[in-house]
Parts: sequence; C-alpha cells; structure tokens
Amino acid sequence: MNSILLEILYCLIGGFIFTTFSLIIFQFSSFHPYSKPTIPVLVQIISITVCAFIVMTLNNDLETIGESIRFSMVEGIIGILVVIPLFYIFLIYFLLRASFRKRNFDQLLDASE
Amino acid sequence: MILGSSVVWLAFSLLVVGFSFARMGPSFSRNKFSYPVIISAIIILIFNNYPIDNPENYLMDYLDSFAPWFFACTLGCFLVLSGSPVYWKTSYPKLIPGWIIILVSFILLFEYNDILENFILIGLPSLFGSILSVILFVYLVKFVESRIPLEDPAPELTEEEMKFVTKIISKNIGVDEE
Repeated sequence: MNSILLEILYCLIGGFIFTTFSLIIFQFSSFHPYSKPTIPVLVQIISITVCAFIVMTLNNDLETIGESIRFSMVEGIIGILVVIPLFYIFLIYFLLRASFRKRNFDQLLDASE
Repeated sequence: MILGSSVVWLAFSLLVVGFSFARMGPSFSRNKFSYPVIISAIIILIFNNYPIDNPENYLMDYLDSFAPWFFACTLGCFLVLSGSPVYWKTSYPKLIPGWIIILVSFILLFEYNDILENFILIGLPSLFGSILSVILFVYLVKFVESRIPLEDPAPELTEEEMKFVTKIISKNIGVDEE
C-alpha cells in the first residue's frame, strides 16, 4: 500500500484507539451508582483489539499487540495535538470579539463594584 | 516495555483521570481531586528521567516542541479573557500582554511547524478517528440505556419530607418558614 495512505490509516486508527482508551478511563473514573459501563467497555476493548490487529497486519515492524496499541496511541495523540492550534485560531476569533465589544454603562452594575 | 515508557503512559492515564474528575458533579462543585491529579500527571511527565523507548520517545520529542507554544497561548488566552470587558470595564494591563503573548506564540508555531501539511496528513485522519470513537460510544450508551426498564412512579412525599422541602425553599427565597 502507498506509504501516504498507510500513514493516514495509522492516524485514523490511532485517533480511534486513543479516544476509545480515554473514554474507557473516563467511564471508570466518573463511575456513579446509575452508570452501566459493562457493555460499552467490553465493546470498546474488542474494537481496540481489532484495530490493533489491523495495524499489526499492515506494519511489519510491530510484533505484538501491545506494541501495535502503543504505536497507534502515539500516532493518535500527535494527530490530536496537530489539530489543537487550529481550534485556537477559532478561539482567537471569539477572543477578538470579546476584547472589542462595547456595552452600555449600567449604574446598577457600577454600584455593585 | 521499559520503565520510562510505562511512566509516560501512567502520566497520560492520570491526565485523562484528572479531566474526567473535572467533569464529575454539578457545575458549581466539581470533584476537588481533579487539579491535584492533573498537576501530578504533568509533574510525572516532566520529571520522568528514566530512558524512554520508541514510539513514546517520538511522542515526547513532539511534546517538547508543542508544550511551550501550548502553555504560552493558553496563558495569553487566559489573560485576554480576564482583561476583556465583561460588562463595560476593560483591564488593559491584562488585555495587551495577553494579545502580545498570543501573537508571539503563533509566530513561533508557524515558524517552526509545518501546520497545513501535518493537518491534512495527520490531524484530519486522527480527528475523524476520534469522532468515530465518540459516535460508537454514544450508540453504546444509547443501546444500554434503552434496555433499562422504566421504574415505577415515585411515591408521594411523606409529611416529614414535605416539611423538609418547604424549609429548604423558604430558606432559599428568604421568607420566614411560618
């Protein structure tokens, strides 16, 4: 397979595995009497294992499923970090609007300070 | 996996635990262990002196170049937000340095990183993978919740419970109980 396509596939699966792993931890650490995490966690573990097997099949350097999960998680985390600056650009648009907005003077609010 | 790499994953897991704690409880009273857990995770990540294996080493190298920009930009955004006119007063000593820090952080980011190429080749596929994972999670939760049988209607309040509720409401609206 083309190396660029492979890289895109690793990142896609990496993003999936990283987010699924985070959601599993989230379900355990935010556990409360009304949460029912058994089925979601089981399905998520199976989906992580299947994805790791796919990556292991595509990449000959990876020998175990653990190595495959680690490799995919790193690809996923870096992919998410690459996206963060673009989210900050959107945030800056709202910060600009907040910085230059003008509100009418309010005597009641002035008195409260 | 060698010790250094295990410590990296421990720190990442603690970060997720910390952020999960931050989402627990009502919005006015979040879990108080959230910040200590997040701070310990960052400290573990920074002061991890054990040798790190690949691919975690590659991740740590990327984090080394990413973290200064991220912290500078977050600090800038925080300063701008706290200096912006919430009602009509603007705090220029916070607003101006905030914008300068944001500007410098973005100049550094574009100077040392190939954002656009990385975004198309790495960022977009990872984002798409994450969205797929969240969609799967939503469907799983929906499936589990749809299988829970409906509970019987709640019984009426007892005399004692009625008095208790009346007392709380009276206190909150500031009127005498009688």
